[in-house]
Amino acid sequence: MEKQKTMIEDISRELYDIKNADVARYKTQKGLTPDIVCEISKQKNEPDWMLAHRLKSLEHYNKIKMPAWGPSLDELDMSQIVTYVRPNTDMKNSWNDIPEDIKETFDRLGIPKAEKESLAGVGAQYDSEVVYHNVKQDLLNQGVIYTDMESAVQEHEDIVRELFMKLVPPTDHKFAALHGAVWSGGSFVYVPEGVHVSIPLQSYFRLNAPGAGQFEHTLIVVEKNASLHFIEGCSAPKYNQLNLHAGCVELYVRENAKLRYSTIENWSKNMMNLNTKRASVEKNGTIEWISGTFGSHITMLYPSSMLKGEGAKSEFTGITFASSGQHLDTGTKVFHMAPNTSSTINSRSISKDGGKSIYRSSVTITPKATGSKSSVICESLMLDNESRADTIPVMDIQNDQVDIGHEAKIGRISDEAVFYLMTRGLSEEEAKAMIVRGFVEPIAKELPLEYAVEMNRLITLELEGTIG
Amino acid sequence: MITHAKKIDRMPERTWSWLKVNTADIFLYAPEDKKEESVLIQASDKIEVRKDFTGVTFKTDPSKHLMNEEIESFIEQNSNIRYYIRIPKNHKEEEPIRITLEITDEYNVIGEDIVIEAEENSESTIIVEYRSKGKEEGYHSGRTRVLVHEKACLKLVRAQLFHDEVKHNDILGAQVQKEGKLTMIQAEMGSSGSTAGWNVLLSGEESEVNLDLVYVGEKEKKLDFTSRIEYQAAKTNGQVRARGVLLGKSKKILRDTLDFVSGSKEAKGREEEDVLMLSKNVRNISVPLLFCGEDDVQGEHAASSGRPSDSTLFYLMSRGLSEAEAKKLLAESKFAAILEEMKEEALKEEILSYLRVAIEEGGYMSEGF
Repeated sequence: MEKQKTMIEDISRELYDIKNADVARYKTQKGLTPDIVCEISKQKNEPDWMLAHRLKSLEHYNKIKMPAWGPSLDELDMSQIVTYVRPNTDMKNSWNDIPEDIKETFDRLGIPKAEKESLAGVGAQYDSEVVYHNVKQDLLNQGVIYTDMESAVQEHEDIVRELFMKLVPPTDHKFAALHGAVWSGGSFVYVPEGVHVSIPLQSYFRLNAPGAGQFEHTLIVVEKNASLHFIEGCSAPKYNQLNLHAGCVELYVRENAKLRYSTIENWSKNMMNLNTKRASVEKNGTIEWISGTFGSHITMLYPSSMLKGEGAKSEFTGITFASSGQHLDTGTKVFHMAPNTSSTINSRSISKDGGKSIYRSSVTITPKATGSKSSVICESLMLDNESRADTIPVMDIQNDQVDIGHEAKIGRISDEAVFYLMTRGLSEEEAKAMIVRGFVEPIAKELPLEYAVEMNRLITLELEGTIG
Repeated sequence: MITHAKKIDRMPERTWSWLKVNTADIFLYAPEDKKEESVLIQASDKIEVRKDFTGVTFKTDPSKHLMNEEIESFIEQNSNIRYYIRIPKNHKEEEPIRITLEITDEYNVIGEDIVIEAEENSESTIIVEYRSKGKEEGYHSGRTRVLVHEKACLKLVRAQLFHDEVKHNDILGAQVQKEGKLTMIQAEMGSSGSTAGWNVLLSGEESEVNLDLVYVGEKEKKLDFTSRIEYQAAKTNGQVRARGVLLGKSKKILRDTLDFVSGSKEAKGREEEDVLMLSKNVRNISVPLLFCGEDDVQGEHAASSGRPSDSTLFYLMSRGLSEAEAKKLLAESKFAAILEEMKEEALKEEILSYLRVAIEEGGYMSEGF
């Protein structure tokens, strides 16, 4: 008799798939040309150095080859992508001043409610521009800056010019170059020395226009002895044509500082998500990446930690859920570049209905990074034979004074575990439910509360027989 | 000497090119004159040993995964050692079959191509020793193909004991049919540059492979290993254990893949790698890959590397050992579990002596590590 299998429902996308009419104030032509890049810069009234940066990035884009690894990107035709869509509003700091359809979208996504209840500041981007930004007065009083990137380029030019695309240079890879050429929107956060932002800040990125790209840039600096929790959410309705997301996140974590960067990515299944995230961590600083990847057609996303200062730490906690039509290639990179640095990686993935989930990582311990430690755990759950779950980790250890451990598992729940729980009084179904929830629990518990609730709502478990 | 150099993909799925793990450098060697080889084969008269491959066919050649057509053609045209060895159906060979290939100053190039066929319900042990005499440069390129038929049981011990001036390239492909079992112990002890790949197809239900690897890296030695098990049928079981000691400025890479393809229901696989690093200048690259296209399987990887822990050293030193002796003992103990399986005391001792000499000559004793 065929074994029964646990069914895990697809994530409900009803909420995310509601489209608004595409009534942009301005759109560039489709494609990628120097004229389009100049036009984006002109629309933003940028300083000359930024225009020069964009044009240089475009040159790199045209020279750099497509990645020779990972999912096929053959479907991407840049001549069909609109790289800049200016929404029909300027940036406001009151939800009431935003056009009704855009406000309704963010209302449905629960952003204004979350702002009232649990956030210290919110940025909301709609297509290529931030339409809402607000931050609590007490943070402003402490010198915290939280604004959109365009304003930061104008108002904090010295910091932006020093740090913008220095961690992720446009030469890094083809889509970093693309981002450098057409970036738009995103957030800038500066937390001064010694300031602890105890309530999270959140930026939400919504792409509404069909056939468009979103290229937001997030730049965060957490100065010495300061701390911040930053949350990033993203979604888009589904269209029949390809959308592209090639954002870039650069995080500077100074001495003794701590930054937790949480992302719940729920793009529609026509989205190609080619995002780059990187953190530089100085002495005794800590970066924590919490990453949930649920949406998109194709994702290539590997948040990277450069542990540059002695005692710097990185923690990566990620969950990926790949269903029909999805090829989600996710993971992380850690570079131990100083003594006594440490990293932990904890990854879970679930594949079903032909979904393909790839865990890809690298841990590099340089000769200088003596006394460093790294622990990697990745587990994958396959729910049927049409799906795939692959793990591709690399560990490159270049000195002997290290403690490195790696564990990976693929498979089904053991009958022994179910039997054990049943001997403790649970029914078979309860036992299996407990084990499945246990599988995602290490990740769920790290999510911000509102997202943990959302994840539980998104992943409805219908337990029936064993996980096969 | 005829040589052939090639970069060849050694990853089932490529990853970031800056990691430099996607390809291996393959150098193939063969003598120009194909002169009489330096090889010794000892087996009972029940075992068929011949030099031609007439009638030998593989439905799927398990070595193909590790090379391309160019390399295959080079091996077929240029090898000077070609042997087909057959263990007949229902035969139990009591004593190990011994194959010794020796590189000498006179015969310093070996192009080896060997096929081993363990027929249905047979039982045998084959010990292959790769040795060298003299101090001149030597070159070895080998391909071994193994076919384990239904319910056959083959234990294959391969010890690479070349001296430092020998370059070594090795490809082994094996196919195991229904309820067949292959136990393989591979010791990579010598050679200054060693590139080796092993690919095992578990094609029959309930077929099994245990692949054990021990290696030592010293001086400026470069070790490039690739191991892959493909689980093609239901209830197959494949395990890999790798134990290594790295010294000096040696560099090692091990790509280790467990690939569960569709249809491998209830298959089980485990790979574990444990590397003892005894010098600040070593480089250890581990690539433990898990590929899964079947839901009802269990696959696990575990890898660890580093120096001996302080608590272990403290314990051993409290029992009267010096720090250097304690570390030497720990290095030997890494190999012990695997070498026990060989049941060949003399060879086991010889392998351990390579490790001891590597540690002693490397100056790690005098350095106090």
